[in-house]
Formats: sequence, C-alpha cells, structure tokens
Amino acid sequence: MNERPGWQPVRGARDVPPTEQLRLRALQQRLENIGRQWGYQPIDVPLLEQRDLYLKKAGEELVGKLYDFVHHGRALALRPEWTSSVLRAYLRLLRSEPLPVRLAYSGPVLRYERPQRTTYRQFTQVGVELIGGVAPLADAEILGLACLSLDAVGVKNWKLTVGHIGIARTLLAAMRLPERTASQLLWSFERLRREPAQVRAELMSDEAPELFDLGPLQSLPDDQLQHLLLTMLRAVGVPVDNTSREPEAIVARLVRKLRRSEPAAGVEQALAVLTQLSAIRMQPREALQAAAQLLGDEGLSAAPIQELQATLDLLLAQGMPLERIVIDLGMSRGLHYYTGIIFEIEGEDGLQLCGGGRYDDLIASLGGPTTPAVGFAFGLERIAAVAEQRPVVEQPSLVVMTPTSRHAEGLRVAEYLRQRGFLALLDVRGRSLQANLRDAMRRGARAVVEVEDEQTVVWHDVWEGARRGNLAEVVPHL
Amino acid sequence: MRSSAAMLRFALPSKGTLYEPTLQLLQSCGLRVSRPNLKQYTARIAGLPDTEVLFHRPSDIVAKVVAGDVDIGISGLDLVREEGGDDPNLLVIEPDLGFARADLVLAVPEAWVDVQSWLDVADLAADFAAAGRQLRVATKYRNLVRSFFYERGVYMFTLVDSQGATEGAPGLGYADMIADITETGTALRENRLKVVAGATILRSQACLIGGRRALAGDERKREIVGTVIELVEAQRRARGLAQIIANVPGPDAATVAGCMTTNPHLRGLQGPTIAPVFSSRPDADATNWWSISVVVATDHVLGAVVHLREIGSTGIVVLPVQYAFADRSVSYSRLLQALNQQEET
Repeated sequence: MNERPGWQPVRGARDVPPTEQLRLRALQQRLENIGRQWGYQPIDVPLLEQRDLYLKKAGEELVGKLYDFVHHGRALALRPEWTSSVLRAYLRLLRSEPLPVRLAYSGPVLRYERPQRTTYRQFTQVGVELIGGVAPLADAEILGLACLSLDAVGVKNWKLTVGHIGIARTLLAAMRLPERTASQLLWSFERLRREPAQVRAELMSDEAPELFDLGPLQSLPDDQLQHLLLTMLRAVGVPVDNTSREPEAIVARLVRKLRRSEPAAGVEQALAVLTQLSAIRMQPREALQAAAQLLGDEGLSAAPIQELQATLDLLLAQGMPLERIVIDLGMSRGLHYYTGIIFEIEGEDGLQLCGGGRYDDLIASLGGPTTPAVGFAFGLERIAAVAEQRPVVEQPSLVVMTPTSRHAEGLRVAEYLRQRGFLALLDVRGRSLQANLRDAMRRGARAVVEVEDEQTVVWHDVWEGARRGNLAEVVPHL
Repeated sequence: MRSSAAMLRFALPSKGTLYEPTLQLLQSCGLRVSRPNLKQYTARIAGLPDTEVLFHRPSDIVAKVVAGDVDIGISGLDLVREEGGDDPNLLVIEPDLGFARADLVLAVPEAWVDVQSWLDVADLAADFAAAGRQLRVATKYRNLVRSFFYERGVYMFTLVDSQGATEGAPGLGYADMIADITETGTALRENRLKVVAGATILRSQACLIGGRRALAGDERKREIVGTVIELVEAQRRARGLAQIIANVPGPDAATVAGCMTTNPHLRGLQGPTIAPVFSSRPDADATNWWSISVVVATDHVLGAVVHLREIGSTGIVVLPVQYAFADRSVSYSRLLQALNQQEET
C-alpha cells in the first residue's frame, strides 16, 4: 500500500511552536511600540487583494512570486507586500487627514520564493509608511527609525546600503529614449551588474529582425504608405482581415516600425552611463563624489546627489555610525514603484533584514493626488534569528484541581487567581494530586491549588510544601 | 491499488504520440512490454522482475508520480514542467530519452506582418492594455506561459484555457495568439500562424521521471530503476556505434596494430583488439593472419573499411552495437546524488 508521510505544511510554509511564537510576538510588539513612539498609527488591510493592484505597479521580480488565482471569475492574489494595499487604504479612508500621515502595519505576506534557510514563502512584515513627507527630512526619519529599531532589539553590526533610483531616472530622462526602452533599462538596472551581456542582448534584439528598406517609398506620407501596403498584402493573399486586430492597426504599426530611426546608438550610450552608475558601490563620501562627477559630465543637475547628501547628514546627526553605511547606486530592489531613495539593511551574516524606499508616484498611480511617500518593512523572522535573545517573562502559573463533581467551584477559584495576576490552568483530566504535582513540576508551575470548596483550598507549593486554609489567606500576594 | 509495496510501479503513456516510441525504446533495451490487448491497462516487462506496468495518460503520469501513486514513469518534459512545478517529490531521472522532440513556442497570425520577435508581442500587450483590452493567449501550458511573460516584464494579458486544437483558436476568434507545442510547425502553418522569434518557451522531449520518496525509501526499487536507466543509457550510447571485425595479414600483432591505427578511427576506445588466426588451410603461405575487432562511430564505418582493405584485410564484417556501457552510469549516479540531497526545508 501507498505510504505517505503525515500531513506536512505546504512547502515553504512552517508551523511555529509556542516557545518561538512567544519570542516572535514579543519582538513584534517591541518593534511596533518603537513605531508608536514615533507617531506611527496601526492600520490593517486584507491579505487577499485584486491581482491587478500588484500587476500594475509591482516589479517583475515580485510579480513572478505572486500567489494568484482566479476565483469565481475574479483575479485575486495573496499580498506579497503591504505598501500597495496600505496606500490604497490610505486613499479610501484617510485622504482627508492632514499630512503627513504615519501608518504602521504588521502581518504575513506570501511570496513564491525558493525556500532556503530563514527564507519562507510565508513570512511576517513589520513596517511603516510616511505619507506626505518630503526628502530629505522624511527620508532621514525613515532611515533613522529603521536603524534605531534594530539597535533597540539588539541586532548587532547591521549594515545599511543606500541607493537612489532618482539618479538613474534623471540620466535616462535626459537621453530621450523611447518610453519602453527607458523603462526596460530601468527594470534591467540591477541585472546590469550581474549579467551585462544578457541585458544588452535583450535591449538590442528589439532591432534584430531586419524588416525591409522603404527605399523611394520613404517619402510617401504615412496614410498613403499604409494604404499601399494594405492593398499589396491583400493582393498577395495575406489574410489581414481575418485576425482579432484591425488590418489598419497592423499596417500602421508596421509603418511605425519601418520608419523608426534606429535608437541603437542612444541605447549604447544609456547602457554605458548606467553601467558606470551601477559600478558606484562604496563609502558615502567617495560615492557621492563619483556620482556628482557622472551627472556633471552628462550636463545634468546634481539635485538627487544633494538630496542624498542631506539625508546622510541628518542620519549622522542621529548618531548613525558612518562606517556602517554604504552607498550603492546600482541598487533597484526589483520593485518598480520606487522614485527616490532606496535602502536595505542586512545583518552580520548578510541576510537582508529590512528594505524600503521612496515612491512619490505610487499614490497618483492608484488614482489619488500626487503625494510623496516613503517607508520600509522589516522581515520579522529574520530579525528574530539575529536579534539578542531576551527571555520572555511569564506570569507565575498554578495548576488548579478539584474533584470532578466540584468543577464549577474550581472554575471560580481559577478566575479569582487570574484576577490576582496568576496564570491559572485548570485540571481537565481529573487527575490525582500526585499526577497534578508531577504535571506542575513539568510545566514549571509554582503550585497545585486543590479546591475543597469555594472558600477552602490546599496550596501545594512545589517547593515549600502544603498550606490549607481560606482562599484569601493562602494565596500569596504577587 | 493491488500491487504490493515491493513492486515497482512504472507508468507508461497509454496512447498518443508517446505510446509507440516508448514501447519501441523499451523493446530496443531488451525490456519488452507484454500487453495482451489494448483494453488492458496493466502489463509486465519481460526481464524486469517485481515491476508492474501501468498505462496512463501522459499528463496523469506526472500527477501520479508527484502524488506517489506510481514510482517512475515516462512522459513529456513539457507536461513535467507544466504540471509538476517545483514539487520536491518529483525527480527528472533522465531528461532526454531521445524521442518526441517538440518546442513550446508562441505563434501569432501570419497576417500580423508587424510582429517578428518577442518584443513585438510585449509591445502589443501594452497596446492592447492601453486600448482597454487584454491580449488573449490560448494555451494548455498555463504555468509555463505565464512565467515566461512575467519573467519578461509583461503582466497585462489573459490566458485562454485550451485543451487540444489550440492552433485553431485565433481563427475561431477566441484568442489573439497561442502558445503551443510543435514538432514541425505544420499544424501552425495550416492554421496560418507563424512562430514568434526568440520566444521558445521550452524545448521538450520524452523523459523519465520518478518519485523521490518512493525511491529514497526502497533500495529494491532503486535497483530496478538502476537497471532500466543503465539499459536505456547504454542503448542510447550504442546507437551511433558499430563493431568491425576483419582478418588482417601481417607478421606480428604489433605491426598489424601499427598499420591499422594510421587511421585514427580504427583506434577504438583503448586500441584495437588483435588475436591470431590459426589458419585452416594447410596450403597457406607463410603469411600470418590476425583477427581484429574494433568499435567505431557509424559515420566512420566506410572510411575504416576502405582503410582495412588497403592494408589487405579480408572477411570484413560490420555489426550493430546493442549496448555500450560506460564505466559507470551517468544517469544513475545523478539519481543517487539527487536522492541524497537533503530536501530543503
């Protein structure tokens, strides 16, 4: 017969035992409390979202990791990150609030990742959004909150890497590339460092299949050329009238392609500049100098560099150690909605603990007014793996036992004890005193309280022996 | 299922393009499947003890291996990638059995004269979205096609489920284009579709798959699987080889070897085998005869024969090689390695 192992959690998901869950909860609370002290108000949003919310704005990296499905004809997804949903909720519920609005969230996200050590497909994000705050002041607040929170929960030797996607955007905008080429370059930005040859090939293959030379037809106006081509195609029996596209649309696009002046040179230049930019990964001072030089050479404004410099100055003013900060201008974090600063914080062993950045266009693209916004999220489980282990202090606990016939009295005694600050467990298995004492020892409980009637109990202290008497006398003060 | 735990459950395609070539492959490996009639869905393999053959549809074979209902099976790599996903129980033991080759490609109506490459498709998806429609792609390979589009930054499209006769979808109007498996492209051309350049989603062929749990936990099953893949591998390696036997005259073995190996193809793997012939003709002159035997690539047989004639050979015989075993089976070592790898948590 077929042998199957017992029920397992779905691959990449896991069961969390109580000892670990207590720690995770405590850590989550400490992070949330720090945010609260900085003025971040909690918000919650659904785990289930419309798929298009992520398809339209998320980066390709995240979309490939989306858990999505069609249910009763609706395309849905499990949230892979909070920001899109939180900003959508902000627009619906809070857009009339005075700016800035500070929001905090914590809860599970799901991503179809390759499971690895401390990488799960379901994990917990604890994060904040600062809506309506502009760079560099709001950027400095967000970076400061992230770093100080890690210090507060005892993460040692974290390293902050800061980039600024606005610099690449500025460079690309100045080159006047076709929209799609520019956005493809931006998508490929992070890969440019890893696999430059492949990125180049993908961009250039746009021009690869040679069509034909228009020759003397070049001088015809578009409408005449389209008419001519369409007539010819029909004459030679190409079934242009038999597809889901209008024949005119097919021919119009063909003419556009034939007339397109080869932007290959522009792409080459853009690739060269972006490659230089993405090579800037160094200490802040040298990095900012190199970037200013690059923008200067292209005759562009150094505004994004000055913004980054100002943010860093404010960060240092909060006591952040400069030597733990690296500037990486080739970072793009795989999310398409970033517009300005982007950052990641990793722990001693190189695991990413935190990621965030600025997305000034996201609210507008969700249908709201143009509103600057910046935020970050911690990965709770990863922080738990490197944060200092702090024992979770439990209330002293007691086991309350009664003869089964007097269980109702036992219930009342247990409630009395809970109100006095004890953690009281009621014997629900009808065990003997001996068995209950053994159980109390095993659970680390302080005593077994044997109920005789509603007033009289015997306090069997695990360490100090038994005392019989009135409930109020026998129970010690905490 | 009535099979006992010790029986290896080996699933084979019950019909379709995979059926005949699968049985042929096994037969050529000395593993003849005896299926008394086509109505019967179980069979035995002569020469493979403790093995029960079960006939299933190729896509069901993938699902049954994943679920652990069968231990190993032969199916198409396209179905394995599409249906099997990244299930940790699914092992591809031999990714290429050498038949049923086909590509999963994107195809558009031939009348879309403005579309040549994948980037045109990406462009069209954006154009459609801007016009408030979605580009509809008919396919039965939903997972593979979706990943292909997503990985290339195209998110606005709709997959239209199509089980069979997919290439008819654009003509019938329920999709704009298709993604389908094609061997020769004939069906595409007949439906006036053309393949999009640079958009081959997967190169597929028949493959051998197995269940990790079943094989990791049962040494006997591993041994039987080892026999199967040893034979398949040796048979495939033998396909391009022939054995040449001839009588060559010469004073001694070393001289004969010297004459032979001036043709590099007659060196064989380690060198030719040369043995003395004890002539049965008493009137023979003083010439010594040597029987040589060497394995050469079939492409080089004629050249080798010409060379053997030049050095005076007689009785040249060329035989097909049925199996060529390497010093160890590559696939079997790979399988053992995959089974040893700790499943990631």
